[in-house]
Amino acid sequence: MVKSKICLREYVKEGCIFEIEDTDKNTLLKNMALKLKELGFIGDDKGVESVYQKLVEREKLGSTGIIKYIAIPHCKTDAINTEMVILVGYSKKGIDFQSHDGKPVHIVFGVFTKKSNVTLHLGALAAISRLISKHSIFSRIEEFLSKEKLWEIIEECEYEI
Amino acid sequence: MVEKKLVLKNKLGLHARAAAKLVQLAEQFKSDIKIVKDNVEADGKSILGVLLLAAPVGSELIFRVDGEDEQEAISAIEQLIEDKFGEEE
Repeated sequence: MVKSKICLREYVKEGCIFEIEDTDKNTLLKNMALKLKELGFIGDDKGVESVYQKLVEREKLGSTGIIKYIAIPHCKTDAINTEMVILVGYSKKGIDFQSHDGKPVHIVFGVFTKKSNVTLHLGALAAISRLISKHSIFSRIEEFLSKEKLWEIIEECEYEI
Repeated sequence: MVEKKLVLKNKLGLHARAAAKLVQLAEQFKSDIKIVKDNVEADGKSILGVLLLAAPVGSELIFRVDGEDEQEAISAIEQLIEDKFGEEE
């Protein structure tokens, strides 16, 4: 079987790591969609609204706060102009994400993939899981709440699927 | 121990929601549950482990279930996969 390699740094572009000021989940989801436009991955407000709605709809099916202190909100959308882009937000205060364990979320990986690319989407989830377990992020979350630290671990994260 | 090969039928494969459902189900059983795909083994009760498999539709997953409720566990897992994790396609 041919393996393909996912390098997270290829999808976490300049400006994609940011500090979260919001404390409300839906405001954060909206701001992530706006950030994609600000960074040039979404062309217009219609795209922003569509991505935001998809993120909200996905959360309704069950919170993506599936790992202690960490959430992976995501959607497949053709509103983006690239195969995949990943936003990484960190919050010192924590956000109520209606997580599975009820704990506040401090790091959010927003994964946005083109509709057709299921393999890439699964690969991103796997690479992020690898990143989280390799560094036991959930057991020392405070150490990772900075742009520099997050970039340091993301830059070197490669995972073969 | 029981071992069973199951093939993913839902279009999206073991994506986040499906993985979370599988883990939630696995956690209800006392048995140890391992999932093997292409020689990579994951703990069926760990979301990080299950997501690491990056399993698309058509993947063959080998479930190794060991413990007092292994039969019930494997039946329930098989049912979930047959039901496509409750997804439409």
